[in-house]
Amino acid sequence: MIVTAVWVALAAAAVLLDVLARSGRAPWPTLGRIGSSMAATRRHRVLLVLVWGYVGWHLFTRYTIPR
Amino acid sequence: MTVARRWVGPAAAAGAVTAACGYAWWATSLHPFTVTAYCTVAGPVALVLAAAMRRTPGTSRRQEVEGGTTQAAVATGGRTGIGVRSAGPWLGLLSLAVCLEAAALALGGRSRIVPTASTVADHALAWHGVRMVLFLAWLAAGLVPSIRRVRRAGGGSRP
Repeated sequence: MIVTAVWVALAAAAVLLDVLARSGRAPWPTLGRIGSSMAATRRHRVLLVLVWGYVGWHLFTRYTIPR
Repeated sequence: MTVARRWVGPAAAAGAVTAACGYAWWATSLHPFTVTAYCTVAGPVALVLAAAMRRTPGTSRRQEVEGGTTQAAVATGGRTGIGVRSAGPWLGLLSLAVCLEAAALALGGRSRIVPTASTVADHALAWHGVRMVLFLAWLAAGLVPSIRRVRRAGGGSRP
């Protein structure tokens, strides 16, 4: 239960970091800017798409509702 | 003409958002492990992959393969790359998540005390509404940068 709360806190922290970065009040970049920077070459873009596709496949076609 | 142009953009955006919501609702109402469920994810992935294969405008094949500051600036619309120091908070968060995931996997992956990110996500995905919102977020994360890139490429090729 505690670790579940830690996962939720990590997700909330990620949202908060991105919101602060977008508001311009933080020195770190937004997630979108990090993604754009990583996607500079075709090889990296394809790698990012494969990671994104894996996340979608894992979450939405293979999820199992816990009993 | 100007008035028409002013309304075409928001109308197209509203139509795209409505279509994406409908697609997300339908995709998340399917049973997992079915061919249709696999196709609903494979379709957007194929589209984004096709866009990713396109060369960045203004770069040669060699530059595109090797990468570098110039291409990074082109791909990010003129902005330069990001240093490790400036991305420190993100790297810290990522390190924490990786450590937690590694610990959860070491405990078998289905531990109730230390669950993996997937197990926590599975609990949230039990609700159709949450599934739809997460699917929309996933779609946006892949499609929006690709659409921007393709539009930039189209604009860049104009004289």
